Amino acid sequence: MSQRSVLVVEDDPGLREIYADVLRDEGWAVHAAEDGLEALNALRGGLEPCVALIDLRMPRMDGWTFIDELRRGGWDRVPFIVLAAHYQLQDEARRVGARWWLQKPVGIDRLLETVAEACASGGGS
Amino acid sequence: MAHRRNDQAAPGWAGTADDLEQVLRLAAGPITVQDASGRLVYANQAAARQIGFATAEEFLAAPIAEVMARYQLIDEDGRPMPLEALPGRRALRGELEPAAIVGFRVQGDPIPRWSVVQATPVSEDGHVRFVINAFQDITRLKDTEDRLRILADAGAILADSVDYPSTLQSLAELVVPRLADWCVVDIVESSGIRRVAVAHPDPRKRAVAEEVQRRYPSDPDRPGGVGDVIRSGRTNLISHVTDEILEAAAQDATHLEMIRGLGLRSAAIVPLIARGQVLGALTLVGAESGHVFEEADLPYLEDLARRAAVAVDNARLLHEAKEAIRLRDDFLAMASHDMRTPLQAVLANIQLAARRLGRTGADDAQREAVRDNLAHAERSTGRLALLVGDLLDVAMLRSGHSLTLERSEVDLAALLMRVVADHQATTRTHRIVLSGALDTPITTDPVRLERVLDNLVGNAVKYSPAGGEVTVVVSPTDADVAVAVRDHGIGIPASELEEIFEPYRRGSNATKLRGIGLGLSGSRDVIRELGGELTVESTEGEGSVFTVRLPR
Repeated sequence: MSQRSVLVVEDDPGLREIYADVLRDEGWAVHAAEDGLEALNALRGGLEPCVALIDLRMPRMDGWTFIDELRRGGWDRVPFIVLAAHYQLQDEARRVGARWWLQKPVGIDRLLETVAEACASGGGS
Repeated sequence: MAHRRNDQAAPGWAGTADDLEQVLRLAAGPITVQDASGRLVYANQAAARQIGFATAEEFLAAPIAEVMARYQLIDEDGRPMPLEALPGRRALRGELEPAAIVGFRVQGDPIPRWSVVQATPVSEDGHVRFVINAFQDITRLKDTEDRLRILADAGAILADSVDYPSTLQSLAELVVPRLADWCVVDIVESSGIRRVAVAHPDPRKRAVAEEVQRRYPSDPDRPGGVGDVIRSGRTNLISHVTDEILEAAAQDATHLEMIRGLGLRSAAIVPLIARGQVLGALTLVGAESGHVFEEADLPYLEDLARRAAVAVDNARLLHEAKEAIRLRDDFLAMASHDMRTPLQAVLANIQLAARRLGRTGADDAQREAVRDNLAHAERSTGRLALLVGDLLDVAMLRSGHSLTLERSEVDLAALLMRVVADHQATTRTHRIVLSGALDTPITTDPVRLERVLDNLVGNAVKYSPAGGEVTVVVSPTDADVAVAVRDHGIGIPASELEEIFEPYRRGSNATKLRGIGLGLSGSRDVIRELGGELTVESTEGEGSVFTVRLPR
């Protein structure tokens, strides 16, 4: 993929939109999915994101399950950032083996820095 | 029969041989004599009655087969005891003073009698001529021992009572058949009285009882029934279940026939009481094995019931406590999610708008005005985010849990400048001055520290309503770093200096000023979680100094 891309997995439509706006303004390609299932389908359809931004609490397929699926489906080289409103987010992030996690609300500077850092750490794309 | 009393009795008593025979014959303890071949040659009245003969003569005249058919010998563990193991036989084989605990299960009486049997051989020229067997009844002692053992076993079962219905079933199985033939436990639950345990050693009998209960559910209003005992909290003892009682309890002829078939003889329904509340009832029934409950048994049975009740009570309290924790965790998760999600949207939108503003074609004055609006909205959102974090932390700490800290190396200067700038933007009458060794390196949870300092600087502004200088001074030592926030405001009355750290308290001179959030109580708790201390010095009317001291 020529343009660096972010897979945003977030059930709140307002947040999906603002994340996409913030990232696109900085030149990122964004694929937004409203839950783990939709994101998983995008990956199965050949999407190759540089980084995934994942919420935890979502309907149909939540972030915990989606992260499991990433590992099981061979997408474990895609770096991911947990971006959630969970109370003990640090504990949850450790539990799912996340290297990056951001507690909502996070400022856009920090968000962009973390996305760039995670993407740069990845093996490919 | 006339009792003979002789105050000048033995050793000088010169009774005749008949007198001695009389003494032996009527002695309260059973005595028997066997000859050298082991044949029974003498038995007194008590010995005869012990195995169901009316007189000693009848006993001695009875053929050996008939005697043997009348009773079964058992050892201490309830296993059949061979004749050779009896002390009399052992004495004949040369043992000097053999003794043993022997149980007699006499035909027609399901409850064994227990005796200590002591044999005394009488020898002449080195040959045993005969053996005297003396019996001492220890049935009551054995009962007491059994009951104590049941109580101890019950204690062990009940101690493990997270799931009380299965615990109560184990308890019921423990007491049958040792204490009763049937044991039933009923528990009061929100939907009514529920039968949680039924035990009888014979599964067929259990099936019959279940069938009775299914076809004729017990009437909770029946006088003397389980419902009645639970309502009154008083034990109902029916020592002897008569046919009239069964007739009164039966709902029709079939029912009567069925309950007659269960062979109920004696019953005690004991309330399960803990902390003054009746939680249910323990029903013990004697049937085929002949258990009979008397008034004298009640303290023991009530003790057993009390232990069961305490176990049920504990299990319920534990369940309630777990439920409360689950509700709290659910609340925290929901509150966190529901408040932080919209905050994220507001914050990101404001920040993105500010960025985009730089690229639009608005003139400088317009741009500056919008930038001011956005900066204000951003600060407010930041403060709201801090408050939400505070609320969640306080909820966690109040329920006795510690926080999950996220420690990292903190840029103290940047953190303090942010706090000072945020508050300076809210006031024109105060001047907030930052000084001291701002570049002191420290490793702690930056988010928590920022919230506490934000709270302290906010208080300093709030409680110096006339305005003036608020100073924030950083002074490190080798081991720790102190951040002191000083104001020249209303101060705190000396008598209230410690009280202000209690939840939801503020100084009596500060009633007009209101606020929510971490508060001083939460701030102190958070600083303690970080391994530090939050202290105060104050003079009413002159101002206060709050000092956060943290390990470096």
